[in-house]
Amino acid sequence: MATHVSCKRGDFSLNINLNLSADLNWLGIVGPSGAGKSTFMRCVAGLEKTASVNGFAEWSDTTSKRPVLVSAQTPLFPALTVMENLKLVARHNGLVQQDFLHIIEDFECQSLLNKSIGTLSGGEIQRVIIARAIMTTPSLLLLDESTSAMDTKLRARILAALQRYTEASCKVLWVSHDWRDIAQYCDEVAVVKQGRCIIQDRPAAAFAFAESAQSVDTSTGCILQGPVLESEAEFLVFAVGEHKVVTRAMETPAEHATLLVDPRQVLVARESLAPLQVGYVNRLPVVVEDITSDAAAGVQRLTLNCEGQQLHALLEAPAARQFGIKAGESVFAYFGAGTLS
Amino acid sequence: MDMQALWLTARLAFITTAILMVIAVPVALGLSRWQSPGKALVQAFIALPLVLPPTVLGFYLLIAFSPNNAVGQGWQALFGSPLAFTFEALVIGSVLYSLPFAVQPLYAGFTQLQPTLLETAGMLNLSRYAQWRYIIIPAMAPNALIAAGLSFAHTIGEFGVVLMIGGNIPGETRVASIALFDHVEALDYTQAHQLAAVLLVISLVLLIALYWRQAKGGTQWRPM
Repeated sequence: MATHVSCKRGDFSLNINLNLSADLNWLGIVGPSGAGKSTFMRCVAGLEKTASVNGFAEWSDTTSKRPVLVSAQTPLFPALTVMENLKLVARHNGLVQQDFLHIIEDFECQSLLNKSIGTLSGGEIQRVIIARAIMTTPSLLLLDESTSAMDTKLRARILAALQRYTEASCKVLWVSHDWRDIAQYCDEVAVVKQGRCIIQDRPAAAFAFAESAQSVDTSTGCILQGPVLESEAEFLVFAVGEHKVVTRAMETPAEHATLLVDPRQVLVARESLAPLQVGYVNRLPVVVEDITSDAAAGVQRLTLNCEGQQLHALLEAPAARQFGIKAGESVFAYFGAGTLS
Repeated sequence: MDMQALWLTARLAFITTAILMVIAVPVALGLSRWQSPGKALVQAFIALPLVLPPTVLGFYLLIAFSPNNAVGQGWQALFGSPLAFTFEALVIGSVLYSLPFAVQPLYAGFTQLQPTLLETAGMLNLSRYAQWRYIIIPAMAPNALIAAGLSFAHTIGEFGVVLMIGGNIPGETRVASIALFDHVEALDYTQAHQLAAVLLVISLVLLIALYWRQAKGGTQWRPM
């Protein structure tokens, strides 16, 4: 189902087309600051009066229920306590008492109920506004950096709760700078740049494209993704084609695992230096697809491919010259299994 | 002691303040949401009593209230008695005279009310009533208090307008400030001292209360 959002604000124009299929539940939206992500979310939420928004009703039931936005611009009502904020919204949306209590528990708001809004921390506010949004039982939830002030473990719990609550009948659009989260939770990712969507695809493919188009922060690297083969307490093994990759375990078990690879920490060698896996170091046979030189930074940037998944490596220019690697060559890439949080 | 004049002044100030609060809330709300070149003109008209000599306003009102003019004739047709030199005329004059003192704090409050709060409330399906009850009124309460306090104090302090349209009728239009003027003219300094002292203390206490409230975290009142 094709959706279209356009909006003009001064000399910034937004024109985003997305293809939202019925089996797509969580769509991540990434892009550099000022790309129009937040404006896009406000448009979809119906908060931009001049925007034209089409096609969302076929993806989620937005005709009978308004999309609900959760962002820094959806404040708690300052005259009320946390409890009163939640109760007010629950009452106006016909939420039954039992669900009300479950939501408070699942989004960890119990200890905050009697606090006044002014005394909450950033992460606490985010928890409460997510809980408040869920209380409207939306059919389309718009998250705009809604978990940015939470620590890793809390964020994982809140996101897991969000997954449970949205499973049945709620679609999610999620803007975040943390693309590891996006890769883990979203079915697809849209990369937005200068008010346009430049690609919408599975997370790994979208990030690989965005990385090569330099649309996301290049120091964040790229990701490998694949079905989980074995899992242990802290680490798990997933498949990239017929090769195995170790990564640290995710907070919430899933069928697919992801590993974030920082291009500065990828070693490239012609020979197989070590057995398949040494501790938590991965070795993947890769093909060098492309080599670009950045003279200013004094580095060469290799684009590597393993079974259709892309990986990047940065080599210091002198080392790269000595190494004399060429496009099309088959080499081995070595990289870590990710750090524990 | 001129209890009759003081009582009349208090009654005038209470009634004027009550009417002003009813008028000023929609006016301030409308102004805060209105974007048009004509807005400056309307704002200027409302603010006129801040700078105009009160006698100018009184003079025009006197003319308007006269039975020879439309307003005076209309009043007479409606209520069967002339408008000029009545308590009702004083109330109308006071409302116009104190209008900027009621509108300005409310206007400031409405413009400072975060639009995202109401946007969010609408998105979360809150009713209009709930939006007023739980968001707008709590946010506006300090401004409303300042508006009411200033209107009240300013009405107590009015002289020029009352002088022009009142006619100095005891129990009807002879408010405290006029009575004080009469005492001085009659060289009755004892009475004048008493009345002046009472007016001074009342005004001072009112303003202290408003500033004290403001220091406790209420909204700042900025003149236009």
